[in-house]
Amino acid sequence: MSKSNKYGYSGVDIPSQAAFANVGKFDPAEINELVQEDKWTQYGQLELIETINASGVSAVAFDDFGDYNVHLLTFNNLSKNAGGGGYISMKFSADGGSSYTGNYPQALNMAEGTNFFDIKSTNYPYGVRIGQHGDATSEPSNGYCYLYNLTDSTKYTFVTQKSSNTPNSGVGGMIFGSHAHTTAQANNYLQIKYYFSSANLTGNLSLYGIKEYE
Amino acid sequence: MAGSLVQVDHFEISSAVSTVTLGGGSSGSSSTNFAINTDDIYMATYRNVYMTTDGRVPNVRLTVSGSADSNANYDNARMNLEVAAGHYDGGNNNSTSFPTIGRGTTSQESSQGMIYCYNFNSSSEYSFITWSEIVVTESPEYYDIYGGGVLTTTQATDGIQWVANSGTIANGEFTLYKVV
Repeated sequence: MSKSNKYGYSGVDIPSQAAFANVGKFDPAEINELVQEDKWTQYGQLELIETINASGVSAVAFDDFGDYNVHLLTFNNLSKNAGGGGYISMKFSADGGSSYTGNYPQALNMAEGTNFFDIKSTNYPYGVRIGQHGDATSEPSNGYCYLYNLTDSTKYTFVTQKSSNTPNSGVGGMIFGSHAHTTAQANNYLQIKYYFSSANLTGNLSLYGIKEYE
Repeated sequence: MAGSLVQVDHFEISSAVSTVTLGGGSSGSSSTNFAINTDDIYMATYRNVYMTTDGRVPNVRLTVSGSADSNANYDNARMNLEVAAGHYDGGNNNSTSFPTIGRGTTSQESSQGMIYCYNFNSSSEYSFITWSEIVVTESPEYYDIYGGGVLTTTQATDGIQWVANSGTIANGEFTLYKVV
């Protein structure tokens, strides 16, 4: 400990600090320092990184992932305006969106009304399917994805997702399942668009980090 | 703090272990000594869980006063979706744990997922969980597994334990949150 007086202590050994184990009396500068060092107890481990309210855009992108191992992406009233029934998807990039490499093995189950289908692929190139959509704002998708290892250069990125939809037929439906991006890279860009043809997106999307204190 | 996740326990494997326990008080794997002790819903995340030997399985049990309940009272229903073979609907009555599937020995052949915990603190109700995970086997094959389970014993449970069906769990990062 570099300071002889710290955390309200003077003339004694200064206790080490750690999240959930802070001891002493703290002034604001000390709290700020401990926050920077991730050693200050803070509750509320679901932390909003960014919300994007998209209206008629060709793609939605997040480029700030913070320092998290697990992320939550929510989407509300996400729709497209062209292309027929199909999947808005999400791809990952490690160079700011300049390039997108690799495949996305995936295993999903989908329902439209009372009809259920498996969606499966060992090498799907079009990204993580995050919902099925029609071509109108009345045919949106609402749901969420959990993303694991998004910024870890040594690991694949894994995604589980679930959404409720009203696809092209207007019948209520759902889709859930898992995806892997089998390229180990530190992603710094996440793009959501309709990759099959040109279409504009409308909807509200939020990216959260789930904080872990080690 | 309303509307929040509150981290209550966290453990990262540094050397292979046969079990990992979140919660469970002083019997837990971390030094936190936390036990589930409120009626809130709890949520566990786990990442990069792989084994020392290919094909081994880290099944899940619940703890009672820190000790894993290994009695044959675990029921579950689940859907396993696989990238090539499609889906398999599975279920078990009166098992000694909640199941998952075998995986490999690297992070590329591991599992990532979440478990939600309900009624754990109630001594007069069953303990319920739902789980959602992606598992990559040693082949590798990619599985989505989505299920629900219940421990059909009216007792309070205070933690979650991952237990290797054989051998040890080589790696994994586990965090437990209270949903408030």
